[in-house]
Amino acid sequence: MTAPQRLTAPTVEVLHALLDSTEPLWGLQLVKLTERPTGTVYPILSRLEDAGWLTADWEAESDHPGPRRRLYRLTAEGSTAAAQAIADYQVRRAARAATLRPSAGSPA
Amino acid sequence: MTPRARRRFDEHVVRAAAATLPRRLRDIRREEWLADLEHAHNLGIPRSAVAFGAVAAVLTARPRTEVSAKRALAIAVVVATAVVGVPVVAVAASAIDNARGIVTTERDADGAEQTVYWRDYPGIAGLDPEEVLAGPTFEQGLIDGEAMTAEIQDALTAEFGVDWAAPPSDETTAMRAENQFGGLSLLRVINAPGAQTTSVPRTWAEKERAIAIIGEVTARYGFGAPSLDQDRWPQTAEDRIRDYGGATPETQVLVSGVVEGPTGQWLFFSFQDLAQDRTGRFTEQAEQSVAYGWQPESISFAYGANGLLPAADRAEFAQRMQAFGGYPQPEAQID
Repeated sequence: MTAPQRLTAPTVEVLHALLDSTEPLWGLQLVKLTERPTGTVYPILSRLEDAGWLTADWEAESDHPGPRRRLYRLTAEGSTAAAQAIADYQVRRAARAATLRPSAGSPA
Repeated sequence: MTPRARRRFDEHVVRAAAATLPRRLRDIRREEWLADLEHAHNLGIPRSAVAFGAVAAVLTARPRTEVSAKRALAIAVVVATAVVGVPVVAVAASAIDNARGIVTTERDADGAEQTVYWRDYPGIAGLDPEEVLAGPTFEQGLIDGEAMTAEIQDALTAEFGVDWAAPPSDETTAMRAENQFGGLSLLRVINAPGAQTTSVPRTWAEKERAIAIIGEVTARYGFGAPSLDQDRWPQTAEDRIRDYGGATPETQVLVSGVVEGPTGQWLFFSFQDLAQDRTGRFTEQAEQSVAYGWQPESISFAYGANGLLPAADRAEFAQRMQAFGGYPQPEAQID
């Protein structure tokens, strides 16, 4: 398993949605949950899958006629890495916000 | 457009977008996106969002090589064509089993037969390994791409007073490149988010000036001269009207091109000028793409690279390349 190149807000949101779900999620569900466009979510899924954080399986053909949905879930290693990555991301964001905030007593 | 025609249109768009993906993803995304279309209503998501999202995903994720830059244009044309109801030509996808990749039998320097598994080739077909090692690293490419983008924005703002809108995606995509022999290389593809203005210069002379400015900046990074797609891939006047909305740059809705840099780096640029749209075809397509973050009229450009080597992978690259030294490369599996 490798680390995705860069953890951005949309990627963190996708990881959050997957971590929060007890069931595998299909791509459009992740679009709905993250409120990110399809064009953003699918490249993220590709990268996370390539990095070994995600695995995907086709739904059973008997579930309904027509094309099958592809169901994504975090791998065991991916779950651990995702939780850590989200925590790191939040720490970085908090640190950045703190450095941007005017210090107490500074002139307005 | 009738609801039935609209359904067919959405499916055409998804199939066309999926057909431009690398072979390993093509069938997966096609079925996945068609299923998304089927079930979009259950989630309250418009089918058109799925269809145009597929196009955006392809344009965002796909390495914008000179070939795929043309394909990106082709996708836009397919979308525009489908909007006005002209059937889209089906793209036949060959189903080659890539599991083993390309395997050849060669004779080594001692005359012994060697089986060569090109799937493990650490570079990319046709890209000189010496050039890879001598060129910028992946890390340097990211830095240069960001710097070039900022410099071009500053220079165009100074010349034309343009304003800038956020690009459709704010993520830099960086992923392992396919080696085009059935495996992954050690090189990384870069697709930077690029930049887009909220307006476009109207005259060809102004557009030429903008292209020259882009070229002046990229030259400082060792890039060559800008070239227009229509010069790189000559077409009949009829085809230029179909693809670009005009037969000459002065009358085209879409003017696009690329500046090539060292070691497979590139900078793609385009102008979309709807004042030149005499049929309304491009305007209709542009209106649909606004929902996905594209400006209807703009100068847009984006930096990318087809395969740069991370500094940490140099030793492994050189070591693995030894297994292929001196053997003629087989024909690449190009999508």
